[in-house]
Amino acid sequence: MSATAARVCLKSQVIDFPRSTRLSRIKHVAKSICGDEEQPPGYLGHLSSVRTGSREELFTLILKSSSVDLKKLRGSLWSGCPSHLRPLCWKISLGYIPPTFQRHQETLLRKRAEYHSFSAEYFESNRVMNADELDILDQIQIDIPRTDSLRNLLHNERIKILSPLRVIYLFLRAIERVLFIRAIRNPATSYVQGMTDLVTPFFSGAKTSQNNYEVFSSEIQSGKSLTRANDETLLDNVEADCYWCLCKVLDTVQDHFTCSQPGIQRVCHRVNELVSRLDRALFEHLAREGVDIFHFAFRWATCLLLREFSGMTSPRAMASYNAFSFPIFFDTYISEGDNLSDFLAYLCTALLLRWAEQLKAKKFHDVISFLQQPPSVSWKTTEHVSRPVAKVTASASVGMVRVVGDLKTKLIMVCARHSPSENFIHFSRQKLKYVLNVTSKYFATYLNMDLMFEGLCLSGKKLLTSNPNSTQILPSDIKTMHAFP
Amino acid sequence: MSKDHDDYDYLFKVVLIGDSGVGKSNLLSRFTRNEFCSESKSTIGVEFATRCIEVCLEGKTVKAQIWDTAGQERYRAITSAYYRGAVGALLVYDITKSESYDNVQKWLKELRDHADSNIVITLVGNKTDLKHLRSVQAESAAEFSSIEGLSFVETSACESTNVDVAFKKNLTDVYHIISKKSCSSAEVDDKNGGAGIIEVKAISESSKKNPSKCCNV
Repeated sequence: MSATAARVCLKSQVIDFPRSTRLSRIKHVAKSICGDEEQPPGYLGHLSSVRTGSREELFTLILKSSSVDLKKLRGSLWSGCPSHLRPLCWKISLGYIPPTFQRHQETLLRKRAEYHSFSAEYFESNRVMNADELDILDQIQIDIPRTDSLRNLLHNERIKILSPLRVIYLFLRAIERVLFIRAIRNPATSYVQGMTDLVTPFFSGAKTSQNNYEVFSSEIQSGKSLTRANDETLLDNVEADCYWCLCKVLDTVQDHFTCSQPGIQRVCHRVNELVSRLDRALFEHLAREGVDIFHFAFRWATCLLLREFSGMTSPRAMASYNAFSFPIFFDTYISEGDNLSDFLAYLCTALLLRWAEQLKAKKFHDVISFLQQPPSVSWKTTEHVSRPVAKVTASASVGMVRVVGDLKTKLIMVCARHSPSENFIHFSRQKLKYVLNVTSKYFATYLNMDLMFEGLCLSGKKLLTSNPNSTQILPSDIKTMHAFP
Repeated sequence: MSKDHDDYDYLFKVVLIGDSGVGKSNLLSRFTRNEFCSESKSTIGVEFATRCIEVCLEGKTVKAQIWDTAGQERYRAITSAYYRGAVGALLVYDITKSESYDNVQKWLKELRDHADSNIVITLVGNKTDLKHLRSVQAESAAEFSSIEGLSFVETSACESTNVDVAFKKNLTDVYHIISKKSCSSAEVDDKNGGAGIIEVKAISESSKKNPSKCCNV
């Protein structure tokens, strides 16, 4: 196990575990550092009764209902989703198709037809593009071969064997059209470099297993083989679905891409503010060295950390040499919905706090170089996941996801606000503590996603410790947190 | 390497600008790490690298702090902020793409609008390895450069031709201007807030009492 992985495990102890289980927990951490991947004893042991089913069953249960509970779906999606259910989960979560099962087909038919009419219009053979359009298309064509996952598609010999060149060509053309049409139809954002990175998760998310693409249809299991059948209609549908899903996500971060990119600037400012609140020493060090958050967080935010987490892709994709390796944390992004931009600020902050000690020892040049090529690029999902552990923790979280989803949103809102409203929801202290324990445990061992929670857990922990006699989180607690340090 | 990081006489801030896809990032990676990747990732915003080199017979060491900028027009508002305090600029075009050469004028204007007026500019025609695709003649670029008062070098980051020459040329020119000025007056040292010229071991007092934030020593 790598040093990073070991640190991840240790980090998870940030949260105060109940005294009785602390010892076994530490033993477990020690074991996992030494590479012993047996099931974790201790803290999660008493949760074994929660092991009523796998995540797959959980999702199937949610999706089976004639009208999907969106809140439930998003809450579950936050912690990752089985790959063959991903296309459907995303479509519903993003609001591309309605939660009502009966209306899926009709919506899909309509939306796909709409996209194909755009496509036919903009790419009609005798249509003359104006100079701006040509510039956009030119830029997209320059960027596509320079995008990591797409470059892989072009140059990986194994992929070439699996998928004939013609199919690869069709794919690249499809991506080009998706980006171009999106740019033309949204002149406020147009095309901005970095969007090629953002489009690939949708194409990879459409892939349900080796050689199978889910048509984003409501028949969950009806993946067809694109490479074998060369089914161009299938690809057309994937293209249309990816277009709409991309649009939905880009709409939530619209101002990340409008002129002078105010959304990105806001994320950077927020990161700055959070770091100043959560780690004053780091904040002061960065300021002393003249490091502007903007120097590195600009790219982090623009590409939604895809480049920084390039190794955190689905293990299955890695093993089967799929054309696209799916960025595993994108499920979380999708479930965040309109909170994505805020969430990103937390994620960036959590990263900085994680590397705080290293950063504090570095000078300006080394800080920037470090953060441009952060250790996270070599984080591998497989390093942190051992199947039995993942299974236990995943099922342990089943009962908790709802609460986690709600809590997370609340914390985001609290932390994002300067003056929290007086009627902030009163969470039971015990409940909060429990949730934080479970989530930190879950995310530490599975998918390395504890990061996503680290910033939040830190805030949450301060909430807990700020007023030890209280049984509820009161607005005064929140103020204490804001006053920190 | 530790010498590289800590032992230098001057710190110069240099920007790499030019159209998207002309090879700015590869020039930088070739110069600082001797690496080349035919399809390197597009630069988002700015990226940064440093390298120390000796600039002249006197054995002065210059640390070049190079900011590589995104080429897309959309990023110009953001990237132009990085021109401030830059003492050198490498304006890159692709010898196989005449539009990228035509846009050199636009880039010069960008520099004149946003950078310090005495910035040293080197025009770089990149991708000379693609001889069969050449569409910009070296002669016309050289002529243009002399009219505009720029130095001019053709490079190939791919074949590692002239890359060091291009950077060294720019840095040496900057050095000559700085050393000439610091001999005649101390006014060049009157800077603060991210100025690119930092004379680390210079005799001049003002540079010591007011070191820029990028100064590491």
